[in-house]
Amino acid sequence: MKLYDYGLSANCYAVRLMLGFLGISYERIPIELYPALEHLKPDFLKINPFGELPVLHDDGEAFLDTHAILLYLALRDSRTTSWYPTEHAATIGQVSMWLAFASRLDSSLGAARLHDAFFCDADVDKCRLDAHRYLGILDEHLWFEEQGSNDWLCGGSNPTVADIACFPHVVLSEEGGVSLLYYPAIRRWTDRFKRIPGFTLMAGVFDAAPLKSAETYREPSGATDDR
Amino acid sequence: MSNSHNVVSVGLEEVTRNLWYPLGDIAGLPAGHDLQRTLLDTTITIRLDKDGELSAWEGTNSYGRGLPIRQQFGYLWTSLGTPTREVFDIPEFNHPGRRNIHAGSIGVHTSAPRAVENFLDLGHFAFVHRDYLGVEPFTEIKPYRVRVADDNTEIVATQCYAYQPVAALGATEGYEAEYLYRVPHPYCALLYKSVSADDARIDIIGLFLQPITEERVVAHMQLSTLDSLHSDAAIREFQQFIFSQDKPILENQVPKRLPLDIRTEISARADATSTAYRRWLLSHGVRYGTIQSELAQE
Amino acid sequence: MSNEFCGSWFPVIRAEEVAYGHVARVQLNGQELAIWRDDEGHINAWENRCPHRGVRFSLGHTLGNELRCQYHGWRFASRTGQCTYIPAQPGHKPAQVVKAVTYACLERYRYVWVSLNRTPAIPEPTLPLGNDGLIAVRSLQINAPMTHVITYLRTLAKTNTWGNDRPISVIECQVIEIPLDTGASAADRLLLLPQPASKACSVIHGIADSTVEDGARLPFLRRQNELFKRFKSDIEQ
Repeated sequence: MKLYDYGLSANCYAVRLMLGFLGISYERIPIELYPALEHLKPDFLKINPFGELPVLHDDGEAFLDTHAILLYLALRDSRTTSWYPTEHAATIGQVSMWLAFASRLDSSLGAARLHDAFFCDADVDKCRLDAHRYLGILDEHLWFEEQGSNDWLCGGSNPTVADIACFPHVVLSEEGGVSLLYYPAIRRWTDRFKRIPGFTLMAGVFDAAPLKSAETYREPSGATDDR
Repeated sequence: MSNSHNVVSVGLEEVTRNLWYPLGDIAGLPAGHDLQRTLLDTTITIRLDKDGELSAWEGTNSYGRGLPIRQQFGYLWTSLGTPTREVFDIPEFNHPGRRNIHAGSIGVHTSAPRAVENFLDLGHFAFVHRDYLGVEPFTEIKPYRVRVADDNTEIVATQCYAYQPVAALGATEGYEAEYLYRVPHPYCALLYKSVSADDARIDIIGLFLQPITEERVVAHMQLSTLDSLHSDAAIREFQQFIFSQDKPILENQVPKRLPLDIRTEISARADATSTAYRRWLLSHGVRYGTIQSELAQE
Repeated sequence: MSNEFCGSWFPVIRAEEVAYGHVARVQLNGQELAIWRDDEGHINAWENRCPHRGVRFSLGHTLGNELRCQYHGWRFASRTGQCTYIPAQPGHKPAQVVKAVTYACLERYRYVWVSLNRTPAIPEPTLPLGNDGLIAVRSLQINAPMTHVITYLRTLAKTNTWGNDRPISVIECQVIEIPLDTGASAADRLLLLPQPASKACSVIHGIADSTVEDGARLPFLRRQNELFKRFKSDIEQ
């Protein structure tokens, strides 16, 4: 399995998260988006004519879309299909809906981040306005899920690819000038997400606090006060 | 959304206006059409023409006031004022065997002085760059030396040590790296880093800040390395990775501008360079991106 | 920020939302706060800013009875805010002056209440409520100053636009009580508690004093949420 990947890409992070949750080893092929703009060069356009990352190659198949990759990874092994449950039409509908929502986050939060950090063209004021509108909807949804004792976007007791698709854009929102201050349910959801076994970081994301008061290192206190 | 910072109506102080500032790496400039950049709240138009000539003007087109240009370390530098000195020097830059790599230009929602201080900071390695530049329990920072050059043109910090699991790309074992810092410009800092015991290899990392506004910067990152094993792309990737770990810290500091009154924030012994830097900015009269008094805060 | 609201106690977040292992972020009267619970369940409300280099505590980790800042790993004790450990100088006890800015806070009526009052002993908040059968509805942020929100709610109270005979009363200057439409007893009511967040932002909280059956709880919460959204869109336009 090969993943064409850029460390600072939010969509690539979604795939790396999935691979981490599933414990799959893969060959990582770095494609430098910034500053080299490698994704726009002929060599990469042969791999993906859309000039975008991530791209996954596995078993002779090529997948050029983040959500497609997530679905493929969830379903290629029958032990991991809880990430994309297919038993009920209603659940498939819900997951699809929130995957589409993740695309809205990509074109608002994601675009604002690319604009602010990498100077990509965007109507950044509109992106931020849209982002706040979407985050308001997401916060409300997650709040009511919590009231129903559900920890994840699509009900049920397990996270799905919808949670994975939304997480990177949400957790990196401040890089695009969008604060999560008024979205407390979203903030709690990101903490829960970070505690999924197999969770991996990217530069710009920190761990959640350990839940048990684990032993953390501390030198014995000295006799004298400082300063 | 405008950056709603409290710009006091006195205007930009001369000392800051008269400095050289980086606007971007020259190799990355497309030839033959004009680009806009923002520096110190001012729009600038730059052009690399088909003959390789660089020009810059204040304003949104090429009819405004022409600005002076320098090329240094592969970057285009300009000034909105009249600099009294040239861009600072890195004597080692052109030494044989050195690879000088532009690692990227990244936008950050912070002030230039905050970004400089973070670059100079030693105590965060085990927490922000955990398992790379530091790890618990090796968090102790022993006292190090900080001095200001005789002519007050730069700060130098030496004998800074930090135990690092991955001191540089490709490191297979931990190493107690030795750091030397230079601050030759209020908004630029250099780090000279010994990365392995095997050779006398010193890598130089440069952080050259282009302040867009008082609370937003472009961080231009330069790597000058004696590494002969890794590709440019791999070296850029590592540098971008480390820098991006600092980003959420920088973007979550309150206030964004650097308080120069050293009573406002509590310093520890390990913060000697930061304390010297704040005093140095005060002594030069640099105000842009800073807060002079606690009372001025929102 | 306006001194009119400076000293009062305000609800800032529903108590159950201050989950263990999580640092909640709220803003009261222009002051951003980090709210967290220690191992004993005690709630802390601190200025959301490490006194070292100003990094938000909400980025950091709760470690049982301490909060650790994400930047340099400085640790601060629950209740006192006292710094207990500076990793760059292990073995040295941090000086007394090194501490988080702490604010008075308490848990009552299903909410965490905070006062930014730095002088001692202002009366704790009391509402005409028991402690049983209370439901804290979903809080909603409104892009309007506190004064606008209060004016709007008081106008509602005066004009009694609920379309029934039960009166809306203003209990205190900041707490508005409206009758609930649960179809149950006439005593059912919703207390609206507006909270100033910043100059241009407020939050409305609500406590329902009502007997709502388990199965009716979620629909009830959804109705109150829709009500708040109606307020929000009225006030913001």
